[in-house]
Parts: sequence; C-alpha cells; structure tokens
Amino acid sequence: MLDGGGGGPQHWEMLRFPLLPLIMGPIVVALLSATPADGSVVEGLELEELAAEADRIVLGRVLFSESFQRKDGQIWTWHRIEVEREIRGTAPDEDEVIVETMGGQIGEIGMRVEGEASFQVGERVLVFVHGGGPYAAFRTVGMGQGVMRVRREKGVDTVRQSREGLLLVRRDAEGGLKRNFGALPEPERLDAFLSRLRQITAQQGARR
Amino acid sequence: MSRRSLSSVFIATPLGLALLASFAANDASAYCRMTTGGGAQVGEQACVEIGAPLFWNDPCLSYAVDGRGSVWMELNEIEDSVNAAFETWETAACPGGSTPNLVFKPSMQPSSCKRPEFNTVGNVNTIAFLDPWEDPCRDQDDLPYDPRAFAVTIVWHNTTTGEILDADMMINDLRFVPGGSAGGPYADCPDTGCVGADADLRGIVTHEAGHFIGIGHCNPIDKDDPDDPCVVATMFSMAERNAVEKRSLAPDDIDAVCDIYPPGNLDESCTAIPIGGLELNCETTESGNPIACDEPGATSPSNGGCSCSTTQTPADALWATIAALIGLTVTRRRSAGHGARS
Repeated sequence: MLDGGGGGPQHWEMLRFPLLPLIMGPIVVALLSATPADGSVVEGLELEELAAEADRIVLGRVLFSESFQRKDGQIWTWHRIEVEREIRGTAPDEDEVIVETMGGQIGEIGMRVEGEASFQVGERVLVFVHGGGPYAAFRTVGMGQGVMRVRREKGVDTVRQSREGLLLVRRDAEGGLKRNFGALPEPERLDAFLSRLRQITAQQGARR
Repeated sequence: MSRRSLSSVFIATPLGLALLASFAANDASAYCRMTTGGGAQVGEQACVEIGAPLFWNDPCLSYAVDGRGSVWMELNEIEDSVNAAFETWETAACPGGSTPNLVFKPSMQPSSCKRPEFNTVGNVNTIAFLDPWEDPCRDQDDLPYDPRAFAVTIVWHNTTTGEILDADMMINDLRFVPGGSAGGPYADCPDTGCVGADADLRGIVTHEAGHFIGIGHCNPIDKDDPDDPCVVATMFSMAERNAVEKRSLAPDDIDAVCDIYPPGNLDESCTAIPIGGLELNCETTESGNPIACDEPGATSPSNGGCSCSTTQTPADALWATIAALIGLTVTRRRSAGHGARS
C-alpha cells in the first residue's frame, strides 16, 4: 500500500465476534454506504482554473475508500479510483489513482470537514487532482470542486458538479456579480464536456 | 462522554439507528443537516441523508480564539466579530418569540491551539488563523490545506449517534491572491459592505458557526433565483467575497437552528465544558515543553481500545461498523498526563 506520508492506515487489531454480523446486519447495511469527509470557505474556480491547477484529470470509478488516522490524530481517507480515461497526465503502468481527503471515520469517532471532496464507492467520477505521485496520494483541486459526478440520466451519461464548500464569487470585469459561476454550473453531457475539457487542456498544455 | 457511556449508547439504541439513517431535515425547509455519513449534494438532489444528523447533545458550548490572532485584525476585533457571529445563532428568533436552546460562552482566555484535535482528556473548540496555511502537525510529505480555502471547520463527532464532540475552525491568514491563494485581508466590514479587498470575517464565521452546530449547506430550489429561500441564507454554499449578507440569518437558517435546538431551558448560567474538560493550550505542557504531534493516545489497544480503520469494502466495512457498534474505541492521541487538547 502506498504511503501518503502521514503514516498510513492503521489496521485491525481485534474483532472476534463471528455471530455479530447476523445480529447487527440490518443496522450495518444502513451504514455501509457512509462516506467520509466533506466547512469551508473556498474560492470558486472556473473550469479553466480547475484544469490549470490539476496535475491529473481522470475519469474513473471509485473502488474503495479507507480511513486512517495520522500521527497527529486527524482522520483522513484514501479513495482508490480505477482509471477509465485519462484526460491529463500519463501513467501507462497505473490503472488507479489514490485520492486523499480530510475527514473520515474510525470506530465511533468521525471527523468531518464540510466542503471537502466526498466519494461513494461504485460511483463514476471525473476528478481534478494535484500533488501525489507513485507513492503519495493526490488531493482534489479546490476541495469538493475537484470532483464531478457522472450519472446516467435519460440514457445519457451526464456530468454534474457537487455543491460543496462555500464558494466565494468574484466580480466580473464590469464589477457586476457573477451569478452563474463555478466550473460546471449546469449539468452537461459527458462526451460534450470531455471534448470541451480536452480543448482546454490542449491549450493549457501548449502554454505549459 | 466516557467510553463506557458510549458503549451503552451503542447497545441501547441499535434499532434507533435505522431511523437515524433515514433522518433528514424538515422537508418543508431548504436547510440541510450535516450527517455522520456525509456525501455530496449533487444537482437536484436534496440534502444528504446518509447516517445520523450531527448535533450537540449539551448545547451549552464554549469556544476560544487563538491568542496569536491574525495579521489582518487585532485580537479584540477578531473576538468581537467571532462573538457576534455565534451570538447571531444563539439569538435567532424562533417561532413564538423564544430563542434556540443554544448558549455560546466564549472563553475568558484565548486559546493557544492551532491544531484541530479531539482528545479523550482536555479539549478546546479553537478558532485559529494559520500562516502558513497548513496543519502545524502535518508531515513534510503531506499536502497543506487547500490553497483555495479561506476557512475550514472540522467537526468531530460520534459516528453512531451523531453527537458532536468537538469543533475547530481554521482560517487562512495568508493574503488573498486572485487566481492564486485564498486568505485575507479580513475585517469586520461596515453593514453597507466590505471596502477594497476585505472579506467580512463576521460573515465567514457566521457561516462556519452554522457548520459548528451541525447545519449543512441548504438546498436551493432555484440557485439562480435571488429570492430563493436558500440562496438568501447564510448556509447557502455560495457568496460574494465582499458581501456582508452572510452575517445575518435568513428564515431558512432560523428554521434550521430552531428545529435542531428547539427553545428550551438553557440560559447563560449554564456551564460550558468541552468533553474531557477545558484545555486551552494544545501546544505546550504546563511546564512549557512542546507537546509532540505524535504522542501516544490515552486509549490504546492495550487498554481495551482498538486502532482500526474503516473501509468500504463490504466485509471490512461490516467488521468496522460492528467494532463501532460494540463500542470498541479508536486510538486517541494524548495521554492524560499532558494538558493540551482541542
């Protein structure tokens, strides 16, 4: 397992109650879908900014999430994302990226940060990440803004951005309030969005 | 809350969990509650309803502003802004003319704590300005807080009951650079709006204080409608940088705080003591020695706890949840012999 530098996950050292799953099953089922992490006041990013700050942009599926405690006691979570398509960043021998988020759950203690990116196991996501590398986890750009969800809607793959964190709007050139802001203010067809994104990354690539 | 009493809660309330799992905000309102499960609000999806809603079981709450203050404001100005922000929630006008069962008692002394922590012994709900914008305890290889974030509120809670155990507010004390990093200058802006590049600290803290008490971002019917009950709320997820509207509550915010903390008997005479006792200094011992970030926890595997991580693969998650339900506790950081906690 890779080490994000924070000491890595701490693993089980107990659990010897084989019948408990049968007893507690219904309750457990209700909790299985819990995801960690999400207060935050964050600058709103346009798509161009989101892309410019991303070392990798990946379309993929969330395979697994695991919380761990850092040496300072904070709880963080790693999310393994199976790469379906790489929009930026080349990793020929890697079919997964690990994304790290603040917050998570360990036993009966949870740590939450509203505005942080969150993931559901099994969901298809488009992530804009930075930092990281072969032995270190990536972080999303702009906290929750760096995750877009892909869902099948009316037979069409559609991408949406979450509302996470308090986004501070900026004024436009004329001093007016930019109301329709953010990287993806409205849902969009995935194929069209990816095409638009590739154009942006190609232009940025030429400038890099 | 002691480990024993936590265990009792787990055993005594299993059936309630199923109900809690489906608990959500009042359907008639746009507000949302933070939950143990968290998750993303996406598109037309309403509030995230996974897990138990977060709340303070004893809503007589203390907090302390870190005494090192900010480069942008004097400490007394910060405290005035912060106190006004919390007071806004405390004095919300609930139906019937009463106020929420919620009392905030600012510490008489500032904290000395820039570490967001929850400990078994000694805590403080600290509000600190950070420059550099990073967890002082992070490893060199760990990334700092998101450069685009102005503030983060970290809420520690019981994953089963949703009881909030501790909350810490970290504010980015760098200089705001458009297209670069978030940060100040911060000010207690005039009611007519901030001047120049100032951001309204009171507004920011009022929003964050909503998270502090377990309120999530509201769910607008039409985010482009300036009259939408959510769009005008303090707990709407978007704001203009130099606006001051966030410092006053909208009807939807008032619904939230009055529903979660319905008017009761709590008054200013209550005693606000964090779980584990108040400890304002999380960085040095009484003798002035620095407290290392990685001191061993008070609850360790050898004395009945467990050091374990939750996962979301079915088998592991099953075991992890069982571990939580039977009240096995997680390793915590500090021994009781050291004073400092957040």
